[in-house]
Amino acid sequence: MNEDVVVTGYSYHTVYASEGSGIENTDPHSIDYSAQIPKRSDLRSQGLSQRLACFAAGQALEMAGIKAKNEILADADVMVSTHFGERDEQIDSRIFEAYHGDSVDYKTLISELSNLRPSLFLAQLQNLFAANISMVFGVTGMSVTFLGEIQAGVSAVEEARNRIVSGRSSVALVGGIFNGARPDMQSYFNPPSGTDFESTCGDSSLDLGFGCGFLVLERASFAKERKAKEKAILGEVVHKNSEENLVALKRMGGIDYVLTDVASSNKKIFDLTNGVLNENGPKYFGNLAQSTGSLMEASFPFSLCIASDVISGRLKFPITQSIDSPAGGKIPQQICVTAVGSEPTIASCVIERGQQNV
Amino acid sequence: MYRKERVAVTGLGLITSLGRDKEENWRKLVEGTSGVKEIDRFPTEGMRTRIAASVDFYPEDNKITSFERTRLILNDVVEEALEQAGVCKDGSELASSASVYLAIPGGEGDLKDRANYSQRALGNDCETDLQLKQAIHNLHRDGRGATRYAELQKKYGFLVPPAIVSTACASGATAIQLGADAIRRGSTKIAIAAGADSSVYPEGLIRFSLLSALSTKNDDPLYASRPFDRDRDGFVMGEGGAALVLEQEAAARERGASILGFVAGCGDATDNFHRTRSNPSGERIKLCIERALADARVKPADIGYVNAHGTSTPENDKMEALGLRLVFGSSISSVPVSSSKSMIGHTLAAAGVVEAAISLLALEHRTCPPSINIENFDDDLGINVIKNSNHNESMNFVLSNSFGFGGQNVSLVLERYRN
Repeated sequence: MNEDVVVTGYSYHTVYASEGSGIENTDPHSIDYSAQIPKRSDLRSQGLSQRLACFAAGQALEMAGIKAKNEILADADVMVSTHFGERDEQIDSRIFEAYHGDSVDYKTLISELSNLRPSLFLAQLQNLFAANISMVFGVTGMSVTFLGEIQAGVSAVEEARNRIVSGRSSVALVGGIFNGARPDMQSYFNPPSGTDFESTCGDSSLDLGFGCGFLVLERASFAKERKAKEKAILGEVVHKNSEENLVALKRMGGIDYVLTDVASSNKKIFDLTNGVLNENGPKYFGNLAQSTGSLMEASFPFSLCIASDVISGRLKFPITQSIDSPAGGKIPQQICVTAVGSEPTIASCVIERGQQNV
Repeated sequence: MYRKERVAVTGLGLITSLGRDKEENWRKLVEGTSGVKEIDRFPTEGMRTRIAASVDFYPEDNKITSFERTRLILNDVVEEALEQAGVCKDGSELASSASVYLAIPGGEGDLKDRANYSQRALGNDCETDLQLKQAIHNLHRDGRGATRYAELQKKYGFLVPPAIVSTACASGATAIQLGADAIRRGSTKIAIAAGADSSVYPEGLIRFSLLSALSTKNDDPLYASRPFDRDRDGFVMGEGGAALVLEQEAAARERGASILGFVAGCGDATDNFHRTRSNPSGERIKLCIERALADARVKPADIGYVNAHGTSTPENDKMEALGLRLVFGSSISSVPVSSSKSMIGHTLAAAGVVEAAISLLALEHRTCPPSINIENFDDDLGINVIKNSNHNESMNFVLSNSFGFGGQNVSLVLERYRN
């Protein structure tokens, strides 16, 4: 019999949450990162996104009460989903000067590149997102960084959960980070019309967000033994596309609360929720993308953080677009978190109120 | 929970600078052929390193972007593997149900496209500015996560999109580790672990140059990659890819697939000592290898050959040898060790799958491929590095190591198929 996987800590940050959604905003430039990342060398080797991810990871560990508990962290997994490594815009624009249309001034290019500081390139490696967290907090179980938009966040949570359920590990720190504020992001997600953008990915005009979400997952018995307070229960991640999983998804029918972060048209998610989750559609439906902008790789972990916050009574169910008016003050017992991406990803997971919820 | 049974490999695809399929690669690897040469894809004047083991047999090699070549390699190795597994012929249903783990580089797309976009996006209309239109097209294709495997997705219709894993130079081994775990859990009938890397472009090369990781033996490309030699001075970048089709042994037998070998065990041990250096005690590498052996339920004495990570950097080879000595003790002197990177360079994100594929071919042929370019062997390492290919009828298990920046250590134990 499979044991429950529980959430014992979480932390999330978003930069562009809309007013009225109830979600607080973070200014990533005004955080005192040294509170979580005390060593100057660790701070120096990280860019803004890496610092924010590391900061949130530290907060999640703190909430779970395992920060600096080396005997636990030594075997805890760290799974992070992210888009790009860090870039320095000013340096990049200097390098770009070597390019003139189709011709390249290789002499300038090579000399510009060769004068850069080595640590800049190290920060460009995506796997440093997970690795930085390992370095700073001593989390040295399996360490994997996942890439690839919405699916990356789903994979990170799914693999972390699978390893706990199958007994490979007892604790995992899982999260995602996405920085849509980078000016170059528009070229990937929102290019001007006249390109064949729409035909390849099917989603046009994305509002990109900047944010992250990290959760500490544990085997229920492990959490109980160390007397940790469970904030929520994290259900199995199921994919709509496989027939077996469709049955599992249908069992979720009747859940009143659905949270998603769907970047494309709302019709898609309405169809999904109406058709698969519940014949009558969920009563309360929050599309976080409408509030925070799409968080891409961070989307699924971020939504799970919000759901955990709501389930544990700390946050009101976010008002982004409600089908019915949210019940005043009532804490949901279950929230279905759904990820929809152009990959095509359609995955869901239920966050449930824990028994010793605090 | 995990099944006791082994994870069968039923399909294998391999591309390196030495060749376009597994037969050609195996033949040249056993002969000790080097795929390293001077770079002629772009001008290299002023670069500290001007050599690489590049894959340059795709059309318009100097025109296509690095990501495009990565995708071509990836598509070809997956096709070779699925064809051998007979999965494409049986009907695509099995292929489309696969859990797919990909070890491919991330990154922002080509510098040229980024430059063109940055210089032209304001004030230009891509209806009329064809250069801008091309840049945007390329960036969208190369820089977005979901389009990296769009062609694969379209061809095989995977029901769950691939997971792209990044553990630096251990990514390929991580892909196999996660794929094997999915099979053992029984959460999928079939898994594909594939990797591809084509990072020989100016920025890719200079990035590793600045980290002082690359060999600068530009005058002797064939002899530049010399793992375990005293005169080793860094790795040589390599391009290539590989794919493995993984299945439950019983299910593979049931559908009549031929089994090439097994992924017997996987181990990992993250090292948080330093971002680019491993803990000098060698304890994390030791633990990583021990975990892979334990997962495969074998003892060090069962290992017939070690396909080393062996990058040819002073640091890696020293630390890997230390880790091996700590695990094997004095018996390490009788275990043949070689590094495929001496011939094909370091295929980076793909290296773990490429070298697992070579390890499986070694088991199939019961032959250890050599480590070339050992002229002045570093005997302080205390390991038995073989200079010539070595036939070994009783070889049943191979250990394959992968270590990456960021403290990423993964070891695999591959097992021979016996009738």
